Amino acid sequence: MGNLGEALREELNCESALTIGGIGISESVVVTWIIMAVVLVLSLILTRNLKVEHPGKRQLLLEQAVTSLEGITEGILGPEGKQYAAYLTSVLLYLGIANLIGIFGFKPPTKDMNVTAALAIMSIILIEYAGIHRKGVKRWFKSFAEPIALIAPINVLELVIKPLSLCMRLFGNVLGAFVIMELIEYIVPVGVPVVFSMYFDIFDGLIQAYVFVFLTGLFMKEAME
Amino acid sequence: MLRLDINLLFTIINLLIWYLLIKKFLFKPVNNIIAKREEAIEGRYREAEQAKLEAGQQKEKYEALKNGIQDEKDQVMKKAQEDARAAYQQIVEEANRKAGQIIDDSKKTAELEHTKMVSRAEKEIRSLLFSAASEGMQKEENNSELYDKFLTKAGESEHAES
Repeated sequence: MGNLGEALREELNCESALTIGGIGISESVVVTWIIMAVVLVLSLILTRNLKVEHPGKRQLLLEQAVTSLEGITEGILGPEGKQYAAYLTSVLLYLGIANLIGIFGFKPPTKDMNVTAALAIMSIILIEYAGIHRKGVKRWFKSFAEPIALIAPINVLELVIKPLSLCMRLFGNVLGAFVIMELIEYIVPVGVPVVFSMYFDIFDGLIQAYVFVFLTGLFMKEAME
Repeated sequence: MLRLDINLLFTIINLLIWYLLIKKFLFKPVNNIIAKREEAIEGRYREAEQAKLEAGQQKEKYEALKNGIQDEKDQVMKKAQEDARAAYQQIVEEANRKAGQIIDDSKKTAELEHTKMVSRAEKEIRSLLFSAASEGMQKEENNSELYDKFLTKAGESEHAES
């Protein structure tokens, strides 16, 4: 079993993929670059020759995909938060791809806590920005003492708890799924992992992407009330 | 795996760039094209509505024109009838007048003829009387005989006259 532990530790370590000027750039950042490049090229190819009339199958599929993704986030945010929908949609797309990229042999970027922490920090900034933008600074400060002043400390604590829970939920789920998949692959390398991969890599990955975006959107909506 | 370092900052920068790229190169073109299509459909609906409206106006105009033609027709017919009636009246009056004139003329002619005849008869009677008188004076017959002779002569002359 010593072998298994060692192999796991090796897999779980986020190595610095390359070093530029003494700064170690982790694998997750590099994989994110790859995702960005691939999606950028794909969208450039797909959005070429878009037609107003008689769109082809490719265009219809693209339009359907984009509108349904935007529909998800717009549905969560409601009409007041429409200007934040584009960011949430882009995060949803990124997390979906990042969680699924394990299928192609990359290490999912979301397995690195730097990535989930970065996402959570951006989420809490956006949540509070939406609140301030909507209510004004004064009412935003007052909203900490709602519904009663007694729970103000808890509300302040939530500023930390919300992003921490977002960060850890995503990180833990992806890490857990990754560890389980590694264990299964270590024990039964053929056949069985495919079945479990369906759940842990594809289903769980997409669910976690949705949960992250859903919670961020929900918190934003709450902050804007 | 459980460490936070400079890569967190890199990831934030990456995410911001990712957001901008996706927004500019994927969402914007697709949403643009959808908006354009909606606009085109809207435009087509408006055009159809406009065409319908124009057709309605045209129809009304033609309807009015048709009614105008009918009115004009009625007017012309009425005028023609009136003209015809007037002409008829005039012709009848003219005819009446002419007939009256003819009757008058013939009356006058008849009167003239009558006067002429009377004057001729008078002349004849006068000449008869004259001849009877002269005869009587010559033969010295009695008065009754003379009277009979006169009557016979007058009857003869009357016969010859007609």
